[in-house]
Amino acid sequence: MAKATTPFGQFYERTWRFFCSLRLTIFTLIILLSGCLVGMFHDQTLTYEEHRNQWATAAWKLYLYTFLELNDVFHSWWFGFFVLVLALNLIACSIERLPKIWIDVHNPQMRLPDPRFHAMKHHVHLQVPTKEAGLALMGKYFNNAKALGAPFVNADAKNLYFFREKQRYGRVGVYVIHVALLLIMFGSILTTNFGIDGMMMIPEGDGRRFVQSRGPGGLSASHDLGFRVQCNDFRLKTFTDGAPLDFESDLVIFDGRTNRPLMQKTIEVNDPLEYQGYTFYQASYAPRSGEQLIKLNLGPHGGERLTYTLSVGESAVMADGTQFTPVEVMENYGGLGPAVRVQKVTSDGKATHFNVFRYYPDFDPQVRRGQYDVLFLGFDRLYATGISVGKVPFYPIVLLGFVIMFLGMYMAFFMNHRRYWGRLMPLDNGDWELALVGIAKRHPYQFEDEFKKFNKMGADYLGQLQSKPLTPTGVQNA
Amino acid sequence: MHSTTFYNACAMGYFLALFMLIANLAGRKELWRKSATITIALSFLAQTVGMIFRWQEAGLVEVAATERATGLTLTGWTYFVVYTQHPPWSNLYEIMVFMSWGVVLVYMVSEVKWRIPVAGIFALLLSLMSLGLASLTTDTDIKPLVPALQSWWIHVHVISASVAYSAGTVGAVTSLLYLVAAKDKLSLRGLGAGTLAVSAFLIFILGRGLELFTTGQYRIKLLREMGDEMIPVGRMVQDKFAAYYLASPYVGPLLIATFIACIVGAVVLWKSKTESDVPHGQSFWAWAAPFGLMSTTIGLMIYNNLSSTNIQVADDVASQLMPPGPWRFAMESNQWDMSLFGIVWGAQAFVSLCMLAPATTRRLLPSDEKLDRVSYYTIMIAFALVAVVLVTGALWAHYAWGRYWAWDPKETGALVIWINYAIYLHMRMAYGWVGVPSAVVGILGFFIIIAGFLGVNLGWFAEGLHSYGSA
Repeated sequence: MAKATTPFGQFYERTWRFFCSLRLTIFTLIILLSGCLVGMFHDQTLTYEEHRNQWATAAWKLYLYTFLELNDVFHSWWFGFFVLVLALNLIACSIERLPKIWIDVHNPQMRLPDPRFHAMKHHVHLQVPTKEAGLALMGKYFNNAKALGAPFVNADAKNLYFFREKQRYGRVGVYVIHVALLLIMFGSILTTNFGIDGMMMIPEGDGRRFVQSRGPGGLSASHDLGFRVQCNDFRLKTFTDGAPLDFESDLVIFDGRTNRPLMQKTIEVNDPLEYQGYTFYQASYAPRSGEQLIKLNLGPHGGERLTYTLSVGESAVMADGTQFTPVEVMENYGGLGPAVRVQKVTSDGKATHFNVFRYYPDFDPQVRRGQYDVLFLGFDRLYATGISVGKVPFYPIVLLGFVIMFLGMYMAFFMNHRRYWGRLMPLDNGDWELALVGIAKRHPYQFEDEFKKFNKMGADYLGQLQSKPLTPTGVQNA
Repeated sequence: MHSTTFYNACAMGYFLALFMLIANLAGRKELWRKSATITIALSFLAQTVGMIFRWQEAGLVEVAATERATGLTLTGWTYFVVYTQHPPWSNLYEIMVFMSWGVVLVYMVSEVKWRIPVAGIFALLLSLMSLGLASLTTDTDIKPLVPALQSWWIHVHVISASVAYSAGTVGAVTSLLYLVAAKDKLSLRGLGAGTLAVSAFLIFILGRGLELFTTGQYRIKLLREMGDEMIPVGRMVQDKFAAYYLASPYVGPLLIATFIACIVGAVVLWKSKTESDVPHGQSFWAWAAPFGLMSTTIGLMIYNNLSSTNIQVADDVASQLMPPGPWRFAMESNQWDMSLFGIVWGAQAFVSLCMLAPATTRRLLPSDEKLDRVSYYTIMIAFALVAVVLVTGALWAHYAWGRYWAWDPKETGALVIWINYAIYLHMRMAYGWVGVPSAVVGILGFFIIIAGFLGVNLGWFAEGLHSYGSA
């Protein structure tokens, strides 16, 4: 870049260099790290009002607390600001460095000038008896380097030159990671602004249309879904010690205007319902009443049965007017386990009583053999199901970011751009000097090992040739 | 056979291998190193088998519980899913066992690749500490898995976390060894100053920040002995059980003294004008005083934990506490703090050893170049695997909770670990800060791992979605 002379040009140049600097990256990362630590130590789930009393002991404390939005660090202005700075920093760095790297990757210097050739840290210098032996050994080296395609060979009046490189796109890996991070950040910013992350408590048998969420500034906000979500049934399966095994809700979605059912699904933890970009997750539950309900499975003898959830004294009415009413609950009836005493009233007003047992479902259809089969399925309670509602409209962008990040990490860590330059040079005594130098952008130690191996290969090869004793010429001009 | 049988055998094997490695170091006999490697491999195998047994035990519990809850008899695929859904890395006890497994795994790989038996001593010590902490956790029973964890994501998520954090731990160990070995880059004086600064910081954190200084007390959990188990004593605060903490006698003032001695020592050592590698005269005492105080404090903590078998509590509080007395302290009162103090004390003891015999210790260590190389590779692996943890966590969270990122403390913790390693790699690749600065960041990484990975489960932070296991 030419030196800027105008004040604006200087300002522009200075700003540009500021955003390109790695110091800014490290500084921003440290600020973001601190933000993360504050967010970890300081409870972010409470609202500003709940925190206020604790910080209101002095005016400046509360002012500082409010100014830094410590109740919601991750959505505070300064955290967002530094994420933005990091993004700009990444973009600027890439614009500054990527083209140079790209040009270098595609335009390697295939013949090094002598001073650079001799200054290389990793090298092999051997004296070989003939040109053919030198060529053969060079061929071995380049095969060992497993590079694609044939090596570049060039000769001037005296010397032969070789060049080869491998995994050159490994150089770009870092920038691929940066692009991925930018995509993830971009997706996250979009999600924060257009996404929904809210909660609905729906009592069993009831429906809800509004989602409660945490809006800007940590204030509670209400969001209209445009349709109604109804919970028909909530089932909690517990272990014998009362810990939840699993819980699930039968959800039905109704059109907001016409009230027609549009979709239904039973959701459980780790298995959500998706509708119109919203995802409904089974998150929690809360009991609504202490009253115990009784689940009865009723139907004509041998026919299809329906399940009714009734409180004591409440009746289920059959098609022909027959009513079934649980009238008494027995926790353990004569050692046979839980049982319910059911009253049956036919349409002409005749009342009878009988017992049904939780653990003996076959008793009623096979032993009592009435006109109707009555099965006691157990107890139930009224719950409200806790549905967490998420809308992540730009999730594919983030997902793409993840994929690209792994690609970039593979390129950056597992690919190592290496360049090898070889030279065969006739010596005054009729021997040839074989020289191989190389440079690696990453994993210098591994590269060193590779050159150790090259040296050993050369020594072995010369030993095999049974020719002159091995005399490495050493580094000239090092 | 029971999984704990294997774990015990494996702990004994690691212990044996530890002595073999020390013997190898002292005598430079190849035979010791080889037998240590074989012992470690066999113990590792025993631990793996133990984990498989644990998985199977958990599977039986899950099947029984599910059958009892649903009233169905499971068969075929459903049986298989339920039987295998509870892997041996689902609560704190299992995670600690798994971490010790991971550390040994990473060490074994590095042993095969780079031959650094010295790092093995530290890796085995940390691994044994992890096993010890596992055996001290109160909640070792297999309980049916909470619904949120019943997913296949848990495997790739937790396995990569364990290996990543183990790799980070091994990287921190080799970084520390590097700082000792690189004698033309950093003096033992400087290393001492750094160690004291880290000790002071840790005392500040474990003393619950300013609480230590304002109250002058270091409080630990009150326990009730029941059979061979230690049950935490506490009371109900708004529907939640809150453990009751009581001051460990005389530890508070001693800790404050240690803290001050550490700060003073760090400053004196850092500013000391003498050119020598090993501190002499004034700076020697600046090192010895905090080390002596730290040793005394830890000794007193252990003494308090073992001897305070009958503790009286003020009557108005005592009436609210459950279970009823007699109450006591035990190692379970503050095992996490103790192990962190122990790690720092171990580092101080190691640095002291180096100061006593600098030439010998440096001769026994591999070259600084090799140690730097091992740190670099292990931390690079840790960086890549933490990325796997973050991404699988995000995908799982998207699938299970509807948000791929919620700034939950544990998520943020993993992010902090990742950013720290990103700083490490950027420093090396872009600045060329290879050596001392990167080693310092590598060592800090270990403490960040402890905070981000375990801190959440130990309740150091605000509560989040990840708090499944607790001490």
